[in-house]
Amino acid sequence: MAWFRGAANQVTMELSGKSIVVYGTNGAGKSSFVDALEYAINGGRICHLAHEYSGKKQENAIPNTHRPKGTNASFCIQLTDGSEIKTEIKNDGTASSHGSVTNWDYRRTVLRQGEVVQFIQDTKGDKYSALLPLFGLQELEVAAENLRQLARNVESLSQLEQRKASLHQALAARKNAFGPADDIQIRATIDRLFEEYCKGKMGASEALDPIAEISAAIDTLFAGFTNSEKQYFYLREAASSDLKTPIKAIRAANSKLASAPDSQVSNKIAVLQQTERYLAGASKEGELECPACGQRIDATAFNQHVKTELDRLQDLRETYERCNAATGNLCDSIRSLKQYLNKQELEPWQHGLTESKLADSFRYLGNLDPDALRKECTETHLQQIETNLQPLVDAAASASTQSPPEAKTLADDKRTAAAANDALRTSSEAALVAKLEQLVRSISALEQATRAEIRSRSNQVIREISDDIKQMWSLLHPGEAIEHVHLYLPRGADKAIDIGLKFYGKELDSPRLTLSEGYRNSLGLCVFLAMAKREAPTDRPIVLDDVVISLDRNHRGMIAELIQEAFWSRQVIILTHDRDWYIELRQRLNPSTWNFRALLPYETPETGIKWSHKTSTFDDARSQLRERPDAASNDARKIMDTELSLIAESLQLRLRYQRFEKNDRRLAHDFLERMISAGKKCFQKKVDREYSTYEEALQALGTADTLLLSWANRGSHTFDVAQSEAVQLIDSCETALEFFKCQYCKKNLWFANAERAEWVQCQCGTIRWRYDKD
Amino acid sequence: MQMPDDTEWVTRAITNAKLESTTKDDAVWSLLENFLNGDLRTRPLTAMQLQAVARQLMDAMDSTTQTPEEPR
Repeated sequence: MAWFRGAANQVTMELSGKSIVVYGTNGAGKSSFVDALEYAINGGRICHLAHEYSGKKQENAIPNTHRPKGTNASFCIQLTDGSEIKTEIKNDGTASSHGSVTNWDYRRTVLRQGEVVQFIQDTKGDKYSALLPLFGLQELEVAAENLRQLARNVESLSQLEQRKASLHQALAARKNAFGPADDIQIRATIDRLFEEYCKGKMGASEALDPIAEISAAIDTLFAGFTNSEKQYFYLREAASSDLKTPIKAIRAANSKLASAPDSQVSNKIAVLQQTERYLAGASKEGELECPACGQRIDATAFNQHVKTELDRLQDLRETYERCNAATGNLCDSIRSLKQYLNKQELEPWQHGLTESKLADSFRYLGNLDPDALRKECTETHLQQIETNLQPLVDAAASASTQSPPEAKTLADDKRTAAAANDALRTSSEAALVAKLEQLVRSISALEQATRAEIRSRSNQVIREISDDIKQMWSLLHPGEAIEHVHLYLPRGADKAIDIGLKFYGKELDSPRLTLSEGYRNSLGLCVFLAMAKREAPTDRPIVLDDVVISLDRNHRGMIAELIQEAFWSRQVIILTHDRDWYIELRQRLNPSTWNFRALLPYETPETGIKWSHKTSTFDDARSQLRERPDAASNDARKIMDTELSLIAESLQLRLRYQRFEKNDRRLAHDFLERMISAGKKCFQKKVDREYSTYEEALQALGTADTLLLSWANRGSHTFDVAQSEAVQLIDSCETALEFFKCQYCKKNLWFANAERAEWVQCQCGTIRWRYDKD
Repeated sequence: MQMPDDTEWVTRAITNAKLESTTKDDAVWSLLENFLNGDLRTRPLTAMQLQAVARQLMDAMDSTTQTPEEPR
């Protein structure tokens, strides 16, 4: 890489086809290598940066902030099969790439710190989303999701909910006007009216629009009425305005909406429906402008949110639509009432009433805007309508009782014709609604059938993976209280996967209930490794980036064993900032298949990421020499504590028993003291085919021990160490450790070991350690 | 794990969905099967694409039912 993330001038992670353990302190640049890998596999997307930058402008974080003018960030990944990817990223975020690597799935390749625990803590739905692509079932999930959206689109395009609500109201009106009469009986009524008003014309069944013809004939008759007759006609029309039914329907719907847990549900549905219409014409990917504040927001997340919310409120939407339809009916009735009561012919009647208590009602009606009421109709509005308008309707009804028979009949017949028209329309509307509902049900049935297929295939894969997870878990946690760890699909929930386990013999359906962070981490790792193992023949290297953070030493050690056992044929890249684990891996993993490299602590963006020339971690201590020589000495001691404890284990060194937990907290001096005393008999070097005590090594160990006792202890207690003293201490410690590696074959002293052998030795046998059997 | 790129599951899903559904409209099922063997399984459709597919399905409903007008 060059000028990519933390890198400055070119820095290379050379693997030569081997696995590698990379150690580096926090910020040394380990994850920059993983970022390059993710960028290459994921088509230019680095997830943890996308979160930071809301899916966009991650280019701000990709190039090194202090790159010289004219330089671009770049990286190249080469594989042993000859394939490679070369990428150069310009400052505006555009990239040019050459080459490609096939069969490379990021999620099966890289596991980062945080992702492990996150996976376990994720909801069942998030686990499903994470695992499904790895199961190879993404295509089915895409189909199922498209079908779900398709059903929703049929509903919204046909305005099915509104249609159902209007139909509900229309059926109530039909029942009110015609009772249980069917279409044939209603048509007979039309025939009768047609016969009466359209005498001499063809039959009603042959007329193009019999209702319109009846209405026109009635209007013609009406034109010949006297003013008095017209007055009665209008009063009768006004009296037929139905306010009570829609008000009752609105109250019923409002009461249901009010009993919802969310008191703002009506407002939310209204906003969501408008947003849904807005999103229908907007981009589904990248960013879009928030319709409220104009800020740029992630389109995918926004679409998903609106969709989820509408789904959540699905049950209440029907009620909401019924409320809307009833409000529409109420507004229509008020408009009709207003229209008739404002007729010139009714002025004398009105005049007689304006002096009475109905004066306020006429004023209220005059000021009432039905269109405004349609937008906002509260309980206060309903009460005002009941108080003011119902008395007007009642007054009109009362006044019209004295109407002459002609006017009464004409008004009733006109209303009957209009009601018959509406009633017959309900039949065709009901048929249409039924068909649309059937279509939606068919699409939903297909979605469910697709989900059943996903479920069946997932179960098959899960059964196989669960065996691996169980095996890996029992390797990491032998004899512990948690067992039978497995993936499963929760019953009755689509798009969900969870992890089940047995905790002290009791079956639990979620690890979140009982597992500590360390155990969750370990479980996440098992799931990832089980997935990775499935693809062993075709997949690329596995990358584990700081994944053992919350595991104790014992379990970290077992992970090393697991990797060796389950992935012996696979290339593995382990990055860690845990020095103890690095030292342990360096001593336990086979150097013929593993590389070990340490990164220098990060200094400045201009110097960038740098490899240490040594595989040990003493450069961490050296980096502090200038500012804090005491801390440098203390670091050197800590490194020796860890290195020597592992060496002592490999040499089967017997240590004096100490009280309780002190046995687990031995210091470098405890080991060195024992190594030097046992070493006189045990640590040998071959010279001229004869083994004799390796005096040079014992002397180096002695020097390191002396300096550790005096200066390192001073470093950690009185902080009084000179720079020159710290340099000498670090060098002597490093020199002492080098004696455990053969200068000829470069292998460790404990390279060759047999259980029944008397000693361990390096590969060429130049140095050996006879087991201390005294 | 990469499953083979098969179309058998589409046939199976259509058959099972037909059993679950009351719709006997062959034109609709035939369209759905075509969609499922095409774009519907390859990528998440955009709002415009979904609307176009929805319209085709509504138009395919038998001749007595036309794409509905706006309700009153």
